[in-house]
Amino acid sequence: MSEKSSINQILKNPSVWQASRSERSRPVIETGFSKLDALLHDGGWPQGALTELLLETHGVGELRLLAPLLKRLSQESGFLVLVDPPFTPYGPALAMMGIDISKLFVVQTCRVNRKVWAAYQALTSRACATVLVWFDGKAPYKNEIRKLSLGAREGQCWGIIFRQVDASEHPSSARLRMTLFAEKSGRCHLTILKQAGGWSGQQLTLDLMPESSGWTSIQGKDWPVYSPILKQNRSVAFRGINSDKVASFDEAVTNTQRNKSRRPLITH
Amino acid sequence: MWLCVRFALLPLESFWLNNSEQSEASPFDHQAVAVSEKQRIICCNQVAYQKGIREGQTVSTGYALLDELFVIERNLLQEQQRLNQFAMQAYSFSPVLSVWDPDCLVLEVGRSLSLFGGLANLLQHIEGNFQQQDISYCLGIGPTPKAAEVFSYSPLPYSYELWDSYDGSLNQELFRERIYQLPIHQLTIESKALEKISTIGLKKVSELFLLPESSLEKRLGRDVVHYLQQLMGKRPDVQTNFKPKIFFDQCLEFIDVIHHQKALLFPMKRLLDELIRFLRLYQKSGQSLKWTLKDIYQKETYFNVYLAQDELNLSRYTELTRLSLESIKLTGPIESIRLTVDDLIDSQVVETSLFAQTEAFKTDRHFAHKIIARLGKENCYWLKGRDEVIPELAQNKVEEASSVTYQVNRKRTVKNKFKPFDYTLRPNWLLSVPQPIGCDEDKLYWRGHLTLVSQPERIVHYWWKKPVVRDYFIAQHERGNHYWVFFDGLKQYWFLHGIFS
Repeated sequence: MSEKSSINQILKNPSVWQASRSERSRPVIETGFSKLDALLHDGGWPQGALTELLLETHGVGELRLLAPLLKRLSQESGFLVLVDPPFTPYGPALAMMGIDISKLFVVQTCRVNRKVWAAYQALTSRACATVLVWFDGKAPYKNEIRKLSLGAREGQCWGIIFRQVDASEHPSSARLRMTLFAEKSGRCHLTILKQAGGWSGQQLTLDLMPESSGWTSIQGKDWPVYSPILKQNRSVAFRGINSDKVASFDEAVTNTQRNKSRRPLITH
Repeated sequence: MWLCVRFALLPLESFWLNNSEQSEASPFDHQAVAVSEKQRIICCNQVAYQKGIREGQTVSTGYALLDELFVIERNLLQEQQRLNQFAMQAYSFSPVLSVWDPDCLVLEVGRSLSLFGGLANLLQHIEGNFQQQDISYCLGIGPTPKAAEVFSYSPLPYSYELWDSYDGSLNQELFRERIYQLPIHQLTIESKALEKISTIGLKKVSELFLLPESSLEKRLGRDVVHYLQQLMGKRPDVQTNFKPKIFFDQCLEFIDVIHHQKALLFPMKRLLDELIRFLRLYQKSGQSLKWTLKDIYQKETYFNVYLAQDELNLSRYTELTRLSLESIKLTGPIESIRLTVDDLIDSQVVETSLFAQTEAFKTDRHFAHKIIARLGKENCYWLKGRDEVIPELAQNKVEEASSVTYQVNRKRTVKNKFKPFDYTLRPNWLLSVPQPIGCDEDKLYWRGHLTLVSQPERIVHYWWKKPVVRDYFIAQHERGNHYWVFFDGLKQYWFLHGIFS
């Protein structure tokens, strides 16, 4: 009797792999992409664990991939923390994705130990729903990632780290690891390197920029050409022109002729 | 019953009280000193007075009379600060107190008599307080605030004799008699009105009261009649009560100096403990702790610790202070520490559910304050939206979070001919400074080849200040990533401004 109960107790532990018997007991939030949900054994982004995204470069669609998660978390209690983002997060764009930016707290650090400290504080505060941390370089950061994993577990929040794709050769204690590559078509190619509760190695291509379907490339002849000299005479609007870079008059005239054949511009 | 404390030499004495608070005697004990305002002497010390310097003389007359006269320009702000400090001290004698500019405090003392054991004792306490600070003062007692002020120009016994200790009240008949005996110029009314009264030929207050009120009003104006009625207690004289500003300011001086930062935490904790008691007592909450560390070379180091509102938690305060202290470099062994909290606000009652925890995460920003305390406020920010067309101006980095959120302007997008989503598309990452990108005849380069793929979006603004003329495009990198680039119409060059992530 006691043996059976002790086995039951072990089986309750979510970190014990039980092959097909495993139940999706871990709380998750759906990724917002049904194809990806189907590939994840947890069925979504795992709560109380660390997810590692390995990027080929910044801007492969990592934030759009996380947008459904961030949107949902920002609408509930808890703050969203960004530690060492590579660029300034742009509020209007995030707001358009449905993320409440008044809950967004951004931290910039210069050293790894400070980055890990700040992220750990946020993860364990029980006031942050998600903490996004960016790591630079190829270094393994074994202990740092282990610490953040523990922090995410303690704070029961969604910890997400971003690293370069070169770091995939190092082991990591993150519960879910995936690499993101941009395809030439503009889509995002995703490979699951590691996931708890089952096999990994699944691959998927996601269209994270559906708006791009209607785009066509603009040829050089259709590029904007600005003719400040002609306007300068009748308007004070262009008084700040750097005279060195102003096109010559002849050029300006030909430009205006070219302008006639151009498509209209959106103007604020 | 009202008591007036008038600081006749406040313009002069406020100087050395400020300059050398520690020294017992004034630095001008043996030198003739005068305070001037608009080139006229308004106040002078005993030495100058003996040499013939008088109030109202011009500064040049003063110099003519006395070559070594030291003239100081009046500092009204300093006087007001001093007077407010005196009011703070006098507040312990009576809670009904008002400050009359430029040099008077008027206290209602009738209700403080039993506490202090009679008028004589109360006056002794008040006098003791001001004598200790070596400040000149005059006292006057009267049944009305204005009468007390008028009597303060006479020696104290003149008004003190009105007090009948057996009855515990002021003798009204004697009061009237004493007031009537006073010369007209002792009334604190406008100098123009005083001149008019003297042209009528009146010299004593009693003569003024012989005239009917209607004729006085006709000759001298309504204000003077109201003044006289308030002086005699026939008209209510409402005073604005002085309320002491509540703030916390405590200093700890060490017998032995402290060399290590960690050792400073113990006395700091003591001060924080005091602060919490103070805040709980007054039901206030502070917004920031201002710490001042003074080293043995008298050099002061300051640092601020920001607090989340409505929290009274010693361990949190200590933790935030410790984190801030870590980034401070001590200039020498520390001799004293001071904690000041002066931006106090009323505590708000937070209504929380008694039984169920409904929210998954807490809503307090303590974690953010902790991170700010260690990393510095310049490295941490919240985002706040702004209604601006220029992309980089459309958001602010703020120190404290606000509830302002973006509202996507859908109306404008619907009007537009282009697909609404295309039009409002913005990159998730914005470069703080646009980076110039390479361009050929018909090719763009930024870490590879870029192709323009979207419709252009022109942003033209600030033509009256610093003109901005930009045509924004979405460009696709040869790898497949999308970037936000623009052609600057003024610089005639291409720039990268954002990254779609």
